[in-house]
Amino acid sequence: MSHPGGSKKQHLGLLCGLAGLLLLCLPPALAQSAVPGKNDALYLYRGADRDQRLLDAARKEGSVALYTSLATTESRPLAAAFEKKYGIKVDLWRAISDKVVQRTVTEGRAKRYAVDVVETNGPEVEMIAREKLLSEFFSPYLADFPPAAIAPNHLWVSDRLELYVVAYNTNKVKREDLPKHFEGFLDPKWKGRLGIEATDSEWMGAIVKKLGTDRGMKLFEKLAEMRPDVRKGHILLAEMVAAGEVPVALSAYHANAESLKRRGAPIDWVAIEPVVGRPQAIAVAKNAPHPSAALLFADFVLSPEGQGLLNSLGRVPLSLKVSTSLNNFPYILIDPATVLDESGKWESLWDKLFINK
Amino acid sequence: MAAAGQLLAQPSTGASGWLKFDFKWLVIGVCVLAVAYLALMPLGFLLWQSFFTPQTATKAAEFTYGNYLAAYTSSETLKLFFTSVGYAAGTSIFSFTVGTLLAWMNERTNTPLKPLFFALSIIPLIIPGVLFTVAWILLASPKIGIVNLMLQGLFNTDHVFVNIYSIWGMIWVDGLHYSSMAFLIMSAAFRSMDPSLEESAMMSGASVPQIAWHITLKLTWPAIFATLLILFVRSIESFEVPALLGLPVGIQVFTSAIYDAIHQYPSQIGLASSYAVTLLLITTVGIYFQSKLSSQGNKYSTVTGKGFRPRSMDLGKWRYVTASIFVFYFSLIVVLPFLVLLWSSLQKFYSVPSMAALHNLSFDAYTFILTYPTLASAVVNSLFLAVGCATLVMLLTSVICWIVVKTKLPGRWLLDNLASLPMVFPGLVLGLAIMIFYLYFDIGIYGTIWIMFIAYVTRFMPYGLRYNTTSMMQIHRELEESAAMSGASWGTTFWRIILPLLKPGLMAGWIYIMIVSIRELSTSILLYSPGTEVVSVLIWELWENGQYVELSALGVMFILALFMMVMLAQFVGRKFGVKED
Repeated sequence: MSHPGGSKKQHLGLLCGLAGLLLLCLPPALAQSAVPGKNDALYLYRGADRDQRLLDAARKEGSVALYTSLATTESRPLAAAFEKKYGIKVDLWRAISDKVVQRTVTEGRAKRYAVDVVETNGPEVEMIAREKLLSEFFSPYLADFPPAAIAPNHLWVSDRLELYVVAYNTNKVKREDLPKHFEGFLDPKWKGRLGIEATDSEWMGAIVKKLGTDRGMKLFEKLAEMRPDVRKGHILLAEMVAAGEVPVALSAYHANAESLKRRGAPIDWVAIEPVVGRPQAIAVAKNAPHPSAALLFADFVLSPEGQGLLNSLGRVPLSLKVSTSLNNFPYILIDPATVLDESGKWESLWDKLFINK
Repeated sequence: MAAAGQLLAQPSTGASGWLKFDFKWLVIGVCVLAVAYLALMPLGFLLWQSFFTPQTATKAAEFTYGNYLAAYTSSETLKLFFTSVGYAAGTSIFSFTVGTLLAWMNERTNTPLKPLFFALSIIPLIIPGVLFTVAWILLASPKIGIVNLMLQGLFNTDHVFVNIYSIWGMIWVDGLHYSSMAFLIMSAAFRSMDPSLEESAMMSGASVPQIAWHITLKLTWPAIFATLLILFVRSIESFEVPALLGLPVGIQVFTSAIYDAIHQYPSQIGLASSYAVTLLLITTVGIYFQSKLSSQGNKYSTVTGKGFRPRSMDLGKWRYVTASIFVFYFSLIVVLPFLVLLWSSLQKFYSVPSMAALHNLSFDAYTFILTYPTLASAVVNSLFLAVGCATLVMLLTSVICWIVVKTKLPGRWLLDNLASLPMVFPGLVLGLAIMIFYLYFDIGIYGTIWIMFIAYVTRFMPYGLRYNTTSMMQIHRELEESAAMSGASWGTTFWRIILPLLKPGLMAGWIYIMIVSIRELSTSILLYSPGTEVVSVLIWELWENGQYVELSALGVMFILALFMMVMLAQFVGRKFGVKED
């Protein structure tokens, strides 16, 4: 894009504005899809001197831009640990996952390459991957991860999990009264005491698939008849459990419930089968301005050190090198690509059951 | 706009007259161009997008009517739309009634303690929307609401007295939250009223309610219309209260359709835009009717050349009644939610006030906020944006408003309309439009604070315009004419006559825009970069992190700081413009 820079007269400025408007309206060509990334060689280098080369180059780059949806209570300490270890500054931009996609994709289309590393919800990272803005990368720590954590297209790695658990208010509900299975909640005594989050169609999808369509759909249809309290946002749901407003939340995020519990709120959680895990993933940008620092940061997050740090902050790490008490139960890992491909189906079903009542 | 000059009375002759003429042209031209530039860009984006399918890496955007078909052929949309209209009507009428009553007592009567009440009336607006709503959940939820628990204890029953999760609860909370907006506009309108008519009515034996109804309200009809219009459009567009209070009981509004469209993959910006077109039409119709009012000449002008003296009415012993209404209102609406905030800011987690929780009091949350790494820069950035945006918008729209109200230019209502449309652009679409525009049209502001500045000015321009219009319509032409007769240039007249007389509207609008700029989130969240964080992003961050306690602490400090700023602005404002007795 070349425009007469610093136009002196406002009518010229206006002309430029209109030209810009026209240009933004024209869909850019689908050029970048087939072109290999300029950083691919660096990202995939496996030589013996990899780590040293990477560190030297990253230090020269001096900083790394991270777009993430990880709460600042965890992403800041993570960034600070990286800065302390390597002396490389982390420019942290935090927003909810779909804003991360919006910004990364919009900048990418305009060829303004500002982001180095993306770390957010799995399906959202897969969206960015489908927009051809990510590159495959090699890290010596990939071996520590279960195969399901690595994307089939190799464009991202799941570094942590968000677990759907049942959270309950300890003043209003006794742990031993909670059923062993979701179907136990269909007992009329739970009517008026249950809550769910407004956008959890992928949670329903995973459970229905696990239980089989007949049994699974019957469970959710019956559940909808109980008319659970629908809350927008998992944080709000967990806070409402702690305040006693929602005695039992069926699809709470483990991290939210755990952090409130650690602060002494009357909340606890149980993993009622089938437990669904939502992968959160990390990826490096194809056109990262600081590719070495980007890869070094990904290395750090995937290393036992970074994973241990996440664990101590109450997040569920996926590295098998870190032992955690947070996931010593079986769970189903949602596949981000499937979520994207089937989202229409599950969302309309979910809305019909729970939202448009 | 080429005809503008011919239509303005300008008694200038000779070479010096030419220069004055030139200056006027420059100011008007720059303002019109600025408004056109700011408003047309996102409008063009929105309309254009509404005819395209989403673009992805594998599929280019294609021209389609599908968005409009999908948006307007579903019975679901129609249902949402009617719910929204009902909700917005209820909310706007409620806010209007509360705000106008307060404004009337504050401006037209001699109720004691008025200066304090002015700043207090604005507090609901200052409290971040999510906090205000959650405070009301804690107060009026059927399960844990303190009001219900207390009344149930009092009458020994389990009857639910108030239920915040209902359309009435939504209207109550949102209506109260925005009563300050009505208060500010109506205050400005009441302040510029010539009391001679009220005094004559009083002489003829009319009672205070009769005067208020037949004289005061009738005279401020344009302001009433503008207030209702802006309140209605804003509440149709509101999202927080329906999401927090409506959703749990299945009440869905029009904005949730827009939200759902955007939050898909690929993001259906086109579908969201086609929904927004309805909001554009509603606004256009409203502005058209408003322009009919302003074209009725000087019917509503109260500020004339005949010794204008804004004076308030003596209520006699009734002033203690109005004072007690004030006290009652503030204890219920301002003090109660504020105390809930203060209470939770001293806790370790959000909980209902009780003796047991009294043992958990701590100042940790305040320490946390004051040592928050981005706090200082966020406050500085927000103050810069808020003060800069409020000042620029009020000055810019005062000129636009002058063209719309004081000239006979054909099609001037379109200018008014153009400048008013950004009010109904969904925040995210506006943010995206600005983001994409400055990514391609690279003048070096992407990633800086200036892109947010442009977004704020665009977003709040319509509000500035409405505030200015109400005051502008009250200023009689004869004042300008006498200035011109005495040889003043257009610039001098504007600066020395119009702006000072416009002061009530300017001040009210300035305060409003300053406060809402600090709260602005939907475009800020997309446009901020590391280093240009703002307070609203900080608030959002705390909310998303689940740090309600820390958020409450920030809210408390926020309210106190803005309360002082409003008092200060009021104090400074009193030094300029038309003096009261």
